[in-house]
Amino acid sequence: MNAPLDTRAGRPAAKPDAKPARAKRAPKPPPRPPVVVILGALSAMAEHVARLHAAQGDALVIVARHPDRLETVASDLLQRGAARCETHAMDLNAVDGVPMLMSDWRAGMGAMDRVYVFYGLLGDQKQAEGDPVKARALLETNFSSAAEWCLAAANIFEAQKSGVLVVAGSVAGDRGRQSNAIYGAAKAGIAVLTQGLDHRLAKAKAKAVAVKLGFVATPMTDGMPRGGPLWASADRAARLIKKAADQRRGVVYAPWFWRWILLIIRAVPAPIFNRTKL
Amino acid sequence: MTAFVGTPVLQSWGRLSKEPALLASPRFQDQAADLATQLTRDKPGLAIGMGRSYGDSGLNARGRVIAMGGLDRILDFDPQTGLVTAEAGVTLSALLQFLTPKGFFLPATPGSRFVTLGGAVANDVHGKNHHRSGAFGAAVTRLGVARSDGSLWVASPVQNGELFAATIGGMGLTGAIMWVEFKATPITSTRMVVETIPFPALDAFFDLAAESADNWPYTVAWVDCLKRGSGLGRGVFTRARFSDDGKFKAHKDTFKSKVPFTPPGFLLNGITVGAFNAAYFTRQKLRFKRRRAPYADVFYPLDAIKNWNALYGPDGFYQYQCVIPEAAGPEAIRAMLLDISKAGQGSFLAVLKTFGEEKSPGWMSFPMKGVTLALDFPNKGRKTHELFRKLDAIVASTGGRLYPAKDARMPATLFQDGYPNLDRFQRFVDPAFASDFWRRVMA
Repeated sequence: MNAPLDTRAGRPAAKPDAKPARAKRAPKPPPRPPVVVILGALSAMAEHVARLHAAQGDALVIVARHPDRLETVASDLLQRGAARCETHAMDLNAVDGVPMLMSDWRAGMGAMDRVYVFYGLLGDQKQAEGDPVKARALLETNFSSAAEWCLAAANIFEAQKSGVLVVAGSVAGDRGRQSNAIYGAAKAGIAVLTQGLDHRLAKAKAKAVAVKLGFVATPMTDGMPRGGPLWASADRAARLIKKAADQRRGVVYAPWFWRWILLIIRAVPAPIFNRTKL
Repeated sequence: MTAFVGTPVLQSWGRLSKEPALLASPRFQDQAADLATQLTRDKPGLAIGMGRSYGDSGLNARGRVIAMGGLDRILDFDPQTGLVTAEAGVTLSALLQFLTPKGFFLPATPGSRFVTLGGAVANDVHGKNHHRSGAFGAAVTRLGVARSDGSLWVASPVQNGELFAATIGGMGLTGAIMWVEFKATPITSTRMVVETIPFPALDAFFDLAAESADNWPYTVAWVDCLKRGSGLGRGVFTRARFSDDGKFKAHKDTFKSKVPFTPPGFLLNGITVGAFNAAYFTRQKLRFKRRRAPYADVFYPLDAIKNWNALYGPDGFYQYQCVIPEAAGPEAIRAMLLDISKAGQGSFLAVLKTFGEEKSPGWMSFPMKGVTLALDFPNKGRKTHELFRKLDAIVASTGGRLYPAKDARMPATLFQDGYPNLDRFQRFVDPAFASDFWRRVMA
């Protein structure tokens, strides 16, 4: 699984005035496959994004907590065509020296072309309101820790003058609501950070994309009543996220109709909104 | 962590019952195994796949059900031997998209590719190549099962061989199948050479089947089950083999059409189906045809119509599939077709096929050397059940049996008499696993 990359260097072309009759132009070395890092790779959407990249023959680095599950996912990604698939089992929340880790991975893979930040905890708003430890944990996971990884990725991309950072966010960040204010706050924060990084990275010809997702049918939303046109499958959400990254867009609502729904929700004046149960 | 959550209604393909269930959707093997340990003798459960069984073998009404579709990963593949290892929730469709560009095909395939690998093993599915290659279980080399006591088993013909034999065709009752290793069949192209041969009456079918057996790995016939008189059992015989043009292209999962709503049940009565059969037969009758076609057109014509099962109306439909041992075959099939044509009950899809020497290791495997007849009947209540009783009598008199994967009503005696390995199979049934079918036939 951790097979080394083939050496792909071709021989240098012969000098123009040296034996022109026999000198042949050496074939251009084949382009190396893009290196894609996925943080929180065991989530449903993340795994589907990984599969899309595997089908393209990309080289993957997948990071999540559970080592056995990661191995299974890696086997599958390799079968589906990934050029290689590195796994790193760790609690993304509880790791020291994030920038160092990222540089190590970049060094190990030879490059880093895309980083997806895919993890979060929906949590229980009511519980978190009453329990400061839970509240802090929710904010820690969804904002502070995610932010560390985003900053580390941005620094790498700025230095190498290329790369795309993709953050899977949520429409919950567009307006604070009583039912998930803490989660929403964290998501709002990460969206703004991504936007700021996009601004900074523009000079370096790199990119930071924030994808704001609505209702997606994954284990995270298992408790909620599902069904209806507002719900997207994990596979569909993954395709939209990857497309947004491929097209190097800025802030993207996935699916598209959430932009308009949130426009309306944001526009509702507080005296009216505060009477709703949302 | 994943948990059992109430669903409004869980239906099987025949849409006969409309009961809710408590559904859990794991995405990883450790989660699925953990869910299995939550099942108990008092509150048993079942692992399920795509819900393509017609009757109640894949249902556990108002009980707990582990939906295995999230375990859909391909773990290993050896292009030298064709051995594939995959999690039980992967669909045959996904496996085909993986295997066919590499020059391999499934060792056996049922009429729909939208079934899971676990489902294929639990029902020991068979296909148009049974006369040559046996059922799916014949190609399975190893499998992994999680039982309710927390134990995880690896079973093969030489390791835990009895659990292996019980699990193949075991209707999911020995535990939750986690992963399966099987031998894929090498092919020389994804395109097939197909011959369609109309035949005027039942005897001709048996002649054609015998004549085609050596040179054609895939054979099946569609039969007009409403035609009476001298044309009884007329139909169209199809035989196919992979071509050798060396072109490998996987199918795409697109739907040519979709049944937009459930039409009323009276649409499918004796008159409309008779007219359909006559028109279809006449159209085909004009000539013997040989053509080339991609494998999906040959194996999965119905898969192109999303939710075709809705055509049978809101009351749903029954599938009746039996196997008759070889010696009694022609007479018994004739008698059954006579009863069906007299009853005038419609069935679009009457399929007739010869089975070969049984090669499956599964104790509860359905096929036996002989001939199988499979038909759909719209649910017309009492009339339908009366016809089934007549057909049961014929099947029982020959020593044949019915197929649990299709069944929603077979009497307990017919089941118990038809499966001689039932006693030793029962010893391997996990006490915390059960299905509506199992409760019904073992009551």
